Amino acid sequence: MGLLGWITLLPLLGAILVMVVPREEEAVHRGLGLFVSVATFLASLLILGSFDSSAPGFQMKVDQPWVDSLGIRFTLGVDGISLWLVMLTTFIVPLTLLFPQSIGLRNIRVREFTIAVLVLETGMLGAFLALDMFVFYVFWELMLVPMYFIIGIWGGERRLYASIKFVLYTLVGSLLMLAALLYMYTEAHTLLVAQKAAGGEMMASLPEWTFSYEILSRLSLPFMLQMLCFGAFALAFMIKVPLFPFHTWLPDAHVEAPTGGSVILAAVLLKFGAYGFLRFAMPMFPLAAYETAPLIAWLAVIGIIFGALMAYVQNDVKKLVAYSSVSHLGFVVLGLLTLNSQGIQGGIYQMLAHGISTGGLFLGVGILYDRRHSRKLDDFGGLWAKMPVFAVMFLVIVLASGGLPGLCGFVGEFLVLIGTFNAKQGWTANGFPHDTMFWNPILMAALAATAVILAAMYLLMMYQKVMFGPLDKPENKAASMKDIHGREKFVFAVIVAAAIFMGVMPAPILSRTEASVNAFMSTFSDRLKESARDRDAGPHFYPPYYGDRQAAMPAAAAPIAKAEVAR
Amino acid sequence: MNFKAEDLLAISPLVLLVVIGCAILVAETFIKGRSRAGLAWLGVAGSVGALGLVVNQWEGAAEAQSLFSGMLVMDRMSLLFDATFVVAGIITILLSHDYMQEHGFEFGEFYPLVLFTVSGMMMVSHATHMLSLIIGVETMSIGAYVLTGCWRANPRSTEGALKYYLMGAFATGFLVYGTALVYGATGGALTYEGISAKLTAVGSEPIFLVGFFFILGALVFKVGAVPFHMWAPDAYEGAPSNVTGFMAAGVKAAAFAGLLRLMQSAFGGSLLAVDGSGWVKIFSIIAVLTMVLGNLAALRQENIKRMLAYSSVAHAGYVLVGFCALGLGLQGADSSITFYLIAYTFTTLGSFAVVTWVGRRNDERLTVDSWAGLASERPGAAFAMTIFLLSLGGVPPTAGFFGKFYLFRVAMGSAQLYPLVIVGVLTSVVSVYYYLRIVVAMYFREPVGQRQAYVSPSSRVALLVVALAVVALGVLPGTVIGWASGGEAVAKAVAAIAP
Amino acid sequence: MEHNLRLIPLLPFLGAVTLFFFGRAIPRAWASRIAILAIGGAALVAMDAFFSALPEAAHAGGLHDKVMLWIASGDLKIDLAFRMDQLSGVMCFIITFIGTLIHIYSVGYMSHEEDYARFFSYLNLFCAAMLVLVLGDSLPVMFVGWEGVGLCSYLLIGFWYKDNANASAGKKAFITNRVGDFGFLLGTFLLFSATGTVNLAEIVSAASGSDPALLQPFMGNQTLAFWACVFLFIGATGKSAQLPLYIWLPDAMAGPTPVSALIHAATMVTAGVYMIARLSPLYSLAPAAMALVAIVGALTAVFAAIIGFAQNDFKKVLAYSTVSQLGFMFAAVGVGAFGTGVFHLGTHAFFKAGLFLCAGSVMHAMSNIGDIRKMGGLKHHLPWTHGVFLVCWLAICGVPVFSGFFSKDAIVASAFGTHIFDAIGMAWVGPFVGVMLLVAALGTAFYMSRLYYLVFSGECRADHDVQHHIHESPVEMVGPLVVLAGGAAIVGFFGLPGALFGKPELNLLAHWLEPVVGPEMHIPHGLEIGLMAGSTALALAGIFAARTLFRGGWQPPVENFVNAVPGFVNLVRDKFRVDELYAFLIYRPVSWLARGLFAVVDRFIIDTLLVHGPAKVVDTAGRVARVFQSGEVQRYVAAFAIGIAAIVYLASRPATHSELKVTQVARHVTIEAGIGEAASAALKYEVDFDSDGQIDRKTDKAEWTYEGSGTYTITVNVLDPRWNTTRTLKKEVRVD
Repeated sequence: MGLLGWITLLPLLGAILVMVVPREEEAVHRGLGLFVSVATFLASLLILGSFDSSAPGFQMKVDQPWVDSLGIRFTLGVDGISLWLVMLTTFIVPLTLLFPQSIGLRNIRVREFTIAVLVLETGMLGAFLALDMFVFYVFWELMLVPMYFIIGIWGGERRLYASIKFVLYTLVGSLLMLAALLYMYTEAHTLLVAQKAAGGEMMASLPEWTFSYEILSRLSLPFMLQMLCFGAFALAFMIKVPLFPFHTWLPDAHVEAPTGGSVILAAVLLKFGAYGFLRFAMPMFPLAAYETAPLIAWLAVIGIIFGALMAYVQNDVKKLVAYSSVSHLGFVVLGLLTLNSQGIQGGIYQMLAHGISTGGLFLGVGILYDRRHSRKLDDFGGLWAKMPVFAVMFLVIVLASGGLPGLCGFVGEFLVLIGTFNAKQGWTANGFPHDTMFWNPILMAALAATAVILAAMYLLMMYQKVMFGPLDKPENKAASMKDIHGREKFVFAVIVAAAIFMGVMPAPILSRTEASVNAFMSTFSDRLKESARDRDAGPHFYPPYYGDRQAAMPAAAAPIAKAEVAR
Repeated sequence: MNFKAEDLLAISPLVLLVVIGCAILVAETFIKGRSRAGLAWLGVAGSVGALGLVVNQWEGAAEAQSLFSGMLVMDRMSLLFDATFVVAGIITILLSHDYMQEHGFEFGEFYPLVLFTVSGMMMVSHATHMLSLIIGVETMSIGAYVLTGCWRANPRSTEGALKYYLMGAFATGFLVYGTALVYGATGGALTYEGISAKLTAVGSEPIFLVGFFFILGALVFKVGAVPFHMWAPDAYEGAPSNVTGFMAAGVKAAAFAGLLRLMQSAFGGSLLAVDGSGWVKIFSIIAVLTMVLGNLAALRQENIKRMLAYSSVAHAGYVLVGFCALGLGLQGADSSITFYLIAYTFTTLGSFAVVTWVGRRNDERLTVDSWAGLASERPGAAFAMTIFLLSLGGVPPTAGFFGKFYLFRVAMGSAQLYPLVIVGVLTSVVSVYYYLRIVVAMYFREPVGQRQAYVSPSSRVALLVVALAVVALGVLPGTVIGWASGGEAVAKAVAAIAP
Repeated sequence: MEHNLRLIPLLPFLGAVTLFFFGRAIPRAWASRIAILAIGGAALVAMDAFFSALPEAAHAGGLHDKVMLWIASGDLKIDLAFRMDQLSGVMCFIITFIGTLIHIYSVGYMSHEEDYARFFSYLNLFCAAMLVLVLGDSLPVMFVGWEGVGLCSYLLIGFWYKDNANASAGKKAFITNRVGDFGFLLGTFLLFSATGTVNLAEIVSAASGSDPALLQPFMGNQTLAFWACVFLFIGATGKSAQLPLYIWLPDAMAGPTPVSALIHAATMVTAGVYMIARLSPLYSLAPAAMALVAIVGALTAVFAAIIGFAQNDFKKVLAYSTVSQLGFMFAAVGVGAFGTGVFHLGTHAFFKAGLFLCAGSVMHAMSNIGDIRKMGGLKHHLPWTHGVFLVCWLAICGVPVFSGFFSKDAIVASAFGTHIFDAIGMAWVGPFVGVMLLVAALGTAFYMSRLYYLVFSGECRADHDVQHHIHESPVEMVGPLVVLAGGAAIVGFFGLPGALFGKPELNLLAHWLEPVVGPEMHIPHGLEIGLMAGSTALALAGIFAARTLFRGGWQPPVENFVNAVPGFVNLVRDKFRVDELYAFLIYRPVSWLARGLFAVVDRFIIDTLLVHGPAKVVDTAGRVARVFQSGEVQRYVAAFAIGIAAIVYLASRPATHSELKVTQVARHVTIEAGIGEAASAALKYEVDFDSDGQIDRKTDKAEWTYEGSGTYTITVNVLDPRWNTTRTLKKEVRVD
């Protein structure tokens, strides 16, 4: 199975273990779940330890046959792009299980909760590590079910609505993605068969049917088909991000989900949107990605500002944080489309930072809700006097989310903005200037940068309404409003430490993503040139699986010219 | 009409079931008043024996052999279906005993009827001759009619049986009449080979075509596809839950098995010059109608059995997508259909098993609302039901997901079928909505009132087996795909399972 | 040259962290001691670096200390590194020195505060951030301090968080600063995209080498350097409270007075000036931008001075005076006298800190009353405070030999003397700025004197029991006051206008800063002397006027004036209602917009229409689909029959042929029938090319060559033997 295989399946095994423990033994369930997730985290440290930051490709590959007759193999691998997302996952899950308020007020069915979280963790890890599109899809869907239950069972008043909305939204996207995936799978089959017939020892090693990411991602489609498949993939990912205007499931899901659910949803699940763009949608359909980049980038910019404005007018703390996610994740998508390392690395870093800061914010909301049984900003005020330690921790997290330099939020936003500002060079350098009037990276960066103002507005507004002002409301004076202690305190301390660390020492984290990001940019631009050379060329493989077209390759200068014609 | 003794040996499973059935009938007359548990176990034993025989035949059946001078065939596809039907029978019997006792309508003839129906199904899947097809279809249908009405105390049961019977008779009429027309058009061909041999010659004769469409209509009726599905909701809702499961799973699968062979061999592929495109067009239309209407109608059902009935209609639509692929001669179409049918059979059996299992006397718990809070009072049942519902909805890692995936994967082989796949995908989103309504009731709502559980070890076992099967088919489908695709992939699949 | 500069910000930072997290565990006495030790230690390290290490490194780019690689991505490399050169050295000196004094002062001032440790931790944290700001080696590191001081100011203004007004003031300060930071970021990006680096030294060298990348046209018809300067200046206006972003500073007086002295007078608010001086070569590339800076500075100076006339809150008056004095500094750097700007920054740090601490001392004595209408005659009660205030007052008024005189005069002189705008045809800027500044100087002298007389002269107007325990402040408060007073008196001599006596080296500061900000501006002696006399005269005039009007309280003429033009006076008193204007123009529209978008776009258009809409449709379809299921067998049978019929019809209706493909080469014509219906083998075709009724061919693909020219109609009969139907297709062809 290999290290990655075990890490992926460990939580699932843990879940099965928990399942067999009788339902009365709540303490055992908690302990077991915690133990398994911590073990997973420690195991993931092994990945970090043996990760070679200079190698651009996938490492520690696992490759097991699964359904041979359909060419499905259980293939996993980690590279600089997925590495930290995996770490984030294994880091967040134990905290969620440790945090006492994760289950929310209706503190019931600890066993089921633990099982759901562990299954969810397997799903997330598998989807981050999968190198076989079928495996990816299975894990991607596998995440859906436990999250649905987490929202539905332990959620708030409108949990039914929120959970079904979450599921249907996600399914619409992912099933269309499945269709596109199947199309590519069959196209690849025809090509592979033809090439094996053509012979060549390199071809001989190829399978006839395969879902292998490394082969399917080399499939070059004519422009229209690229647009269709990209559309199917992008829809799934835009919903997950979520990108404006596909975001309305998020506030509902977040508000209704229990604290633990919100934390995992915000910290990890949302990352799959951007991750999908980076790993699948962009390298697989470069031409479509290139053509739609301005549109998506503008959606991201709109999302950044829109989300911030929405957050500003919320009276429900959780809704506020949810909308702030929409704003923050806009930066990620924007960064991916800059096609320069600042933007992309910044996007990746922003994913991690958002995982920490927003996760922390939701933990804080969990505390508030637990103490006060309310999420209305107007119900709070002056809590600093009541819970100073919490106030301090929460302040750090709020500032981290607000992108204060020296905390995690700043690095990502700074890199993304500086990358966006120079995005024109990024594309032009690859021979693909966006000559549309819509493509104005400097304007985008300037507009996106207003988020630093807006973020300060809604975050400080929120913090003031909760922590500052007179402690005048009787409920807030009540003895039940006690400061964080014990496990709560520990969890917050860990989150705060992570936020500070990521703000002060981003270099070691960025350096491990660098090689893969550079590889991504070069492959992307190569494939972009290749498929822009002849927009309507029939399906074929990118180099080195050139097959028949290799002979017919014009000079290197051709693609640029072609691209200009295409404009 | 001459045939060798081995031919009888070849259909020994079928024979065994009939014999056991008769034995139980006889035995029934001797035991009075006491529980029929013994009969049930006898039936189970007989079925297990039949299953053993089927498995035993597998190796020998690497290449198809014709029996009774072309009346029946014996190949791995039919054996695979046989096994499925027998298992379905076993599960049904295991479920039925306690259920019927609980609801007070147990009677000894039940078990023979199940066995006869199963034998009919086997006949259908083996049939390579219009007559054997008709006989098989009738055997299983009549069994199904009676089973549907076997809860005499329950008016809905009898009503359902009546409707089912009337419609079924109508359909049979079409089947026979169609056969006659084909017989005439082809100049006396009734074996599948005979018909297909004449296809090119008479393929475009109106007589032949009309006959063909009558046969088609009859079988499509049996599988309950739109617009021939009308009977299904009433019959399924009326029949006792254990029977409903058996019908929805077994009978439907058998009809599909028959249709599959018929379309494969007799009216093979697109040879048939119907407006140039074979019967794919028709099947596409029926498939779309079935998927859309089935799922839409299921959306608003409050009665779980009725909802599942419509969902089984919808699933017929998905299978028909596979038939379109078959019509276009796409590689792997038949094995994908077979796999889907197996997956579907187990899932449906399981879901109805849960339905039988949660009810008590005078409290059948058939409405969605009555399932509120099931998870807290019957966690096992709720969990199993969740698995089945996810499988029906096509969510990994379940049999249903892989079935759909495999089916669509094959259909994607031809651009002509992309629309169908898209429709299938979108409708399955819709389907998830109503399947989740049950999950919502079970998990997200609080229980209403205090119910004590109805105990049935045999049901528990059956449920466990089916649930495991559904998950196993989802996680390690390789083996069954191997079997479904004629077994040449079995070796590989076995290797795949080995870590 | 390497040096352990990191200690300078690190010590106060450690102090802050210790007090922040373990404050409640530490005894009060020790809390303040730790803080003072931390900043004092930083001061000592800074002094050491400044006096011993810096001189020999002076011309080698100063002292440098790389802590670690902070952010690295592609060609962007940001070190967490510090650099101390002549300029940042001076800043360090001021910050640590005055910082220490204010820490000591706070021991007394905050003695009644229960949340003692938290205050000192913030104070320490601020010093750390401020030191990072000035020592930062690159724009991002500078930005860390830049935002850090903003944060500390937020925390300290809102220190008494229990009162929402204070918290709001802090929030206002932070957000307004963020508006500036937005500009700062854009400036950074712009410089990076041009020079490929964010390191200050490299940018400066690129600028002094007038790198073409910086001079490339960017927006409008201006150079990239211009826009970079403008954006950075926006940052400066936020941080240094210039028009139009000055609004937060007066509110910031909600914080404890030592904070006002340290942050909102001596250090943080001068960050903008420092930043421009630091990037002086860059600004020199864009005279237009400098003109903007100078004009904004001059206008701010006048504007704030006028508002200062009518304020009755001790600290508010000082706040507006700070804004005004900052205007002077920007005017200085704007006209190219960077050294002079820094000079005024230094002198101002002393006398304004002194003034604020006096204010603190007074309010401390008057049991926290800040309203000067309740004061008066404190001369006798608070001799020390009065003495210090006296000195600082004379300094800010610009009375000769006091520090303010030299720095302010030097600014005015360089405003009149500058020639940098001649090149871009804006020579008027210099004189204009100069005149403005003279007016501002007059105003300063007037309102400061007003403040002085109303507070210290005449009889005390406070109610009895307040008067009862008016007392001079304890020594730990008076001590710093005296030191600052001394500074206010003498620091002017570091910037003597030596050129006047032909001894430029007399101007120690300018000489010292020359390597960083370039040589001192040369000003004609006549002009210089004239201005000295003039500004002295103005200062005295202002003082005299105030003396006549406010000595011992409001004199009749004032009342008359107020009664004469009450509208104007109120307008001034209400600070020209700028806050209200902003609320009307920016704040409210934004929140309305947000609410509108939420209700219309988010809730209605997206959620209701686009999300729930389709769901509703499907749902309704579901209801409809149920209708067919009536339960009557007859209907079912009917449906069955119809279904069969439909299938039969669909499948085997007569084959339809629409296409008839005709390809024509001259007289040679080829027709092709039944395209697209591949397997319609059953069909028969009859082709009649010349429509003479004779069938020419019996196939679906036929060729024909016409003899004569003309128009012919090709007729094709399609026969379907299965249903013996015939359909006829016609097509025209012209041959000639």
